Amino acid sequence: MAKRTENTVKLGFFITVGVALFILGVYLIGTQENMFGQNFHVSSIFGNVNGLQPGNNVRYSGINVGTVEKIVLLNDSTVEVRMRIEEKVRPYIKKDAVASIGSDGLVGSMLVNISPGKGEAPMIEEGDVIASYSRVKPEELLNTLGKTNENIALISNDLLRITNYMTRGKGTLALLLRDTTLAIGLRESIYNLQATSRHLAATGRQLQGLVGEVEDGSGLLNQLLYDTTVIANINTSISQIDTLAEKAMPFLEELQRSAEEISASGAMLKTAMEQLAEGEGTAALLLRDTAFASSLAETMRNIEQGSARFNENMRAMRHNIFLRAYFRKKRKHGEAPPP
Amino acid sequence: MATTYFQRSGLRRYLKETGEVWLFARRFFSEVYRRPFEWRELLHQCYIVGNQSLFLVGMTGLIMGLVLTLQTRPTMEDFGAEAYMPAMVGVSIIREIGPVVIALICAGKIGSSIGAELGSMKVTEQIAAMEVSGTNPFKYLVVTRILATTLMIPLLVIFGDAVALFGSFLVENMKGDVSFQLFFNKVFRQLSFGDLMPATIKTFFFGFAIGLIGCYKGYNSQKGTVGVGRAANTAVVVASMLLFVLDFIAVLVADIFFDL
Repeated sequence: MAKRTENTVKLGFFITVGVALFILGVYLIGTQENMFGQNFHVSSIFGNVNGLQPGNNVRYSGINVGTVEKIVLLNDSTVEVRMRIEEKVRPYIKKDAVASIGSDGLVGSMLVNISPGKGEAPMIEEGDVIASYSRVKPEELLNTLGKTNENIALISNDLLRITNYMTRGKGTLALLLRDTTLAIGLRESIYNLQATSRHLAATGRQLQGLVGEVEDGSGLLNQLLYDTTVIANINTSISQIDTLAEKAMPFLEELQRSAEEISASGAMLKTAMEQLAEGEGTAALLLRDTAFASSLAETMRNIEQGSARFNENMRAMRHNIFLRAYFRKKRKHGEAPPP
Repeated sequence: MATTYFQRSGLRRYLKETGEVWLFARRFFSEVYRRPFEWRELLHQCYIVGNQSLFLVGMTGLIMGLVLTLQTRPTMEDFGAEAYMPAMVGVSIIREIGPVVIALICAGKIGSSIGAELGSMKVTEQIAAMEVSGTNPFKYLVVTRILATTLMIPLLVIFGDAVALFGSFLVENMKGDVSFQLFFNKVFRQLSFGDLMPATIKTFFFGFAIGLIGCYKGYNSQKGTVGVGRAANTAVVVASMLLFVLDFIAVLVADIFFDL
């Protein structure tokens, strides 16, 4: 009898443990599906839920905070997803939060991701509808990838052609790659550039020194830059120059007229000279005819001789008895006697 | 000629036996509500079926968890999906392997023992003596045993599932670096009531089937020691087959109601 009671106690223990294990399993699964504890409900409208099912997880900032409770087709293009979310995370979810449908890894089940909104918004409330964001669908992604692949194929063909050209030594790039003298030239150019930059740096330093001296010293530049009386003097000088210019204006106009006249005379002279050069007129004849010149010289000599003889005759006349009185009278009146 | 062949054929025997099992089950349902209730005998049978099978079920569950994880892990590693091991093992054990394997083990142990016990009582005419003494042998022997298996097999399956999951955790912890908490979090995150409830409900039917077939075979065993052995043997074979049939029906029904 005692043994039977002991067995019954053991049986009771086994039944208790078994039932407890079952309840624990139910509780753990229920906790995962948010069946116990306080919850609140929000919903979001999507165009496509990509195979989302009731019971899928809802994540906020990557943490499981709830489950999808119900998916309702509202019309031909909108689906409402109702979510059950733990009450304890409600303070952190704002009204401007955004829901999107994602998947748990590449092969995982679908889930709803709630992302925090931008800026300040009041806390979310029971029954609120939050904004949704549709991600790029895999089909669209694959279509885009297909186009990208076609483009890559074309680009790689072009690249192949270019590299073929280059390996055959055609074109500027090939020359750049293969020509060693060009490389040496480039290197020298770079050295020169370095040297130039060093000089520039030195010049810069000198300029800096100069600027320092200008700032500190008492030269003309310093006065121009910093002495205000210089500017006043310059202004006075300029006004004086203006007055002078006004006065000189008539003179200048006269000068201009004279210059114009001179220019006209010059033109005439030029014409005359041209005529002379061309051999027209008397003067040209005078200049160019050598026979005439020699005869002219002869004539001149004859004139000289004639005048000398005439003088001699005149002197003889003064001593002439008929004319002596005339000359004496002239001397008396103070007139010089003829030679 | 045709009738003779039908009478000799296994099909006739099968149909006759099916009909008798059906009548036996109907008798059980008519007797189970009728007073007096054999509480003491029920508790004793529960102890024999439940507590005395704990070691066997525990060992089976542990090895089941260890082997399943060890065998599956390399394949999952090839796909880089070892993180899904707890979820996969959890769903396999809770939904299908746990209930079926533990029920089969119980069919072997409990079904055979019930068949042999009742068969020997029948052969030694103890059942007839009980009828003479005014005790209802069906109520005392059959109803208590079928009730005990129906109630205890689900508990044994839950116990075996828990041990199997623990065995799986041991391997995962040795081969990988999964903590106890993370392992069970992953297991229960993947599980839903659609996995747990049908699996638990079907174990009641498994228990009922084991008790029913064991009792029927023992209660209707032929005379002689050969009859006892035959009763124990056929109890195990028929109960095991019936378990698979019931499992198939349970999966079909669960698929309709729980949308697996």
